[in-house]
Order: sequence, then C-alpha cells, then structure tokens
Amino acid sequence: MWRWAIDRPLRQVVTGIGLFLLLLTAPFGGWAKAPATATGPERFAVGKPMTLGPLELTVDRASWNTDPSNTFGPSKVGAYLLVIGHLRNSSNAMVPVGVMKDHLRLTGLTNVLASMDVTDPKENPVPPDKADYTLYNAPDTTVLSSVAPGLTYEVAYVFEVKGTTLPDRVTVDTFGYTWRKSSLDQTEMWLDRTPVGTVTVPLHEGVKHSHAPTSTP
Amino acid sequence: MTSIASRIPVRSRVGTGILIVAALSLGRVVTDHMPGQDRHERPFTTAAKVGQTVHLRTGDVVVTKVDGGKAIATPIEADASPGLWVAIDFTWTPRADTSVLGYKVVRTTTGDTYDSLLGRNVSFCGNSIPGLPESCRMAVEMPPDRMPGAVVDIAPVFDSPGYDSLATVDLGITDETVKKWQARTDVVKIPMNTVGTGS
Repeated sequence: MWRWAIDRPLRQVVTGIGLFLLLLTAPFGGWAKAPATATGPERFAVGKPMTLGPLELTVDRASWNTDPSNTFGPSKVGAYLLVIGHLRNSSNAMVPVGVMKDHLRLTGLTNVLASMDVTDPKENPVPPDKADYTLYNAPDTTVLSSVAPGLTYEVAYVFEVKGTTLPDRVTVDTFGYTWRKSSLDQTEMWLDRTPVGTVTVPLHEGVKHSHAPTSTP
Repeated sequence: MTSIASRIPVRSRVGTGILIVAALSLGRVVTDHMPGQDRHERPFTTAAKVGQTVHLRTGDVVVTKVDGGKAIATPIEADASPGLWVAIDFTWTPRADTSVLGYKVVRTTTGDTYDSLLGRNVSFCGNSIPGLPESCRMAVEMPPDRMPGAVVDIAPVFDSPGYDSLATVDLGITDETVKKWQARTDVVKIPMNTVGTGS
C-alpha cells in the first residue's frame, strides 16, 4: 500500500490524501449542511437561578423611581431602573471585574442611558444592550465590583433612563462564561461570553428613599 | 512526472523516518519529566503564626492581630457582609528598597481565595521606606464555615507571587472564634495605615 503510494506522482498523492480525509467526514454528514442546534438563550422564570460562569443569579423583581436611594441623588434626566435579585459566587476565587460588569443587559427599552452617571438632559439614550449598570449590595447600598466565593448577596442592578415613561414589564438577558486557558498567554480565565437566559419581570414604581424606612433600593 | 520514491533513496527514507520517531519519543520523555508550571513557578514560602516575623525578599512582615465581625467601618465607608469579615493587622518593614506588599490573599483549607484588592475587601498598605515600619490593615468578607484554618498569603508583588518570597500566616481561626464573631453586635473598625511608630 505504502509502496504503491510513494511511487505515485506528488499531485496524485496529495489528491488521494484529500479524498481520504473527505471520506472520513462521511459518517458525520460530509458536506451536508449541519442542522441548526443552537436554540438560543433559555427563558427563565422570575426567581429561578441561572448559572453564569462563576456567578449564580436569581432575578426577583424590578422597580423604577426618580430618587430610590440616598446613596445616589435624584436623577437629573429621568429615573433609575432597578433589577433586584440574588447573586452568588459559586467559584473558588473573587469574580473578575470584566465578568461583574457584563453579565446582564436590558432589552427592548428605547430610553436607557449609557450609564447611571448622566447629568446632561440632552444626552441621547443608547441601545439597551449598550447600557451599563452599577451593581449595588442592596442592604447597605455599597458598590460591588466583585463578590466573594461562597457568599450570596442581595443585589440591585441600577440603570438610568431618560424620562419617566416606562413599561409595566422589563426583560433582561444574561450571559455566561467558560473557564479556560487564553490562547494568547495560556492563562486560565473566564472567557467566551455567551447568552444564557432571558427573564421578563414585572416593573413597578418603587418608593422614594425619603419615604422609605431604610436606604434599601 | 517525477514520483516521490524516485527522488529519495529507500534507505534514506527509512533512516529519516526512524530519526523523526526517535526525536519525537525523546521529546515526549523529556517533557514528561520536566517540572510543571505549578512547580517551577512556585514561590519560596515561609509558614508562620500570628506574631512571628517573616523575612521576605524586600522586607519583614509580621501579622499582629486578627479580628472579625458581621460589619466593618473604614474611614471611607461601612459595609455589612452576608457572611463575616476577617480583619488582619500587620506590620511591614522594607529592608532594601521602598516597596509595598501588593499580594495579600486569604486562603481557605479548600483553596478558596479572597483577594484584599478586589470587591469590597479592604487593603490599607502603601509604599514604605527601608527601616520604617508601616502598620497595615486588610479585611476580607467570606462565608463563616470556610474561616476555620484559613491562612493569609502575603508577598511583595501585586499579581502572582510565583518565583518570589511568600509569607503564609495561619490566622488561628477556630469554630469558637467564628461563633464569637457571629455573636458580635458592634462594628469592626478598620483605621487607615500608618507609617512610623503610629499604630
């Protein structure tokens, strides 16, 4: 067999190897179009936990108000939108800032601002998937830039919206990560941000902080 | 058209094949016996207890006090934890050069790590000059059931302490310590770091 192969002209050998490799793909469908297997993000019910790489998030409720907390002042351009839930770090190390800042996005809204630090009333809304949130630990309204392994926090994802016209439901998309070696420097890290789930939660007007019994958003 | 066989003698082809297989086999044997990344990048670790001085590459460090509770108050903000805070005081005296202890990580018996530079954790320790002791403070929040047996790793670097000197100090936390901290109703105060004789 080998003797026969090496006696062939180079072009025939290369063509033969190519045909052989093509034949090997036959059990897997060959050149047939692969069936679409991706089903898209799963739809989660309110209160159902989602695994997002190192994080486990449960979305519980959502509210909006022009002045929901004494930690950040009243909105100068509209209102704050708060997505409230429970966030647990199920990994064995502090969660990287990149994952903390990018695992949840609003969808469907047309009046969300780029961040909650907007002071210029002329600033235009951005597409909802481009709007950044600030993540607060709800009981004491301190900012969470990371969460500790094994702890579950009651959290509020705070967005700012232009105006006070808001729907009675809001939908959020969540994203997960995979722990693997980076192809650049072989360092293991959370990579491959991928859509995981979608949650639609009722949105109601919350209480102004000056009328609330505590500073909890 | 010229065939491959007509250009390369049989003996040469066989010899080349044997050499390639031998080289690959040798390479496999060598790489199998090379120390792994975890081994050749491991730090030079010195184990210690609270009160014992550890001589690191650029200075000396000693953990002086370990405390804990449900909430802490720093000059910047007050934080309540869903778990417990462990607050660690230590003194850092650079020996050869102005330097800082950048790596301060609490590690549990199961390998979970709590970096004092991340999240709401506290790290008050700056640049200090040779011979002048600096009183540093750090605090990390963690689940109470993971506290017993925890150690703090301290190194004069900011990222991984690989290749460098590392102090691993047993914090002396027991189940009884954790129960006592859980029962506390007062706030653990974390003052800023001080340089010189201040504490």
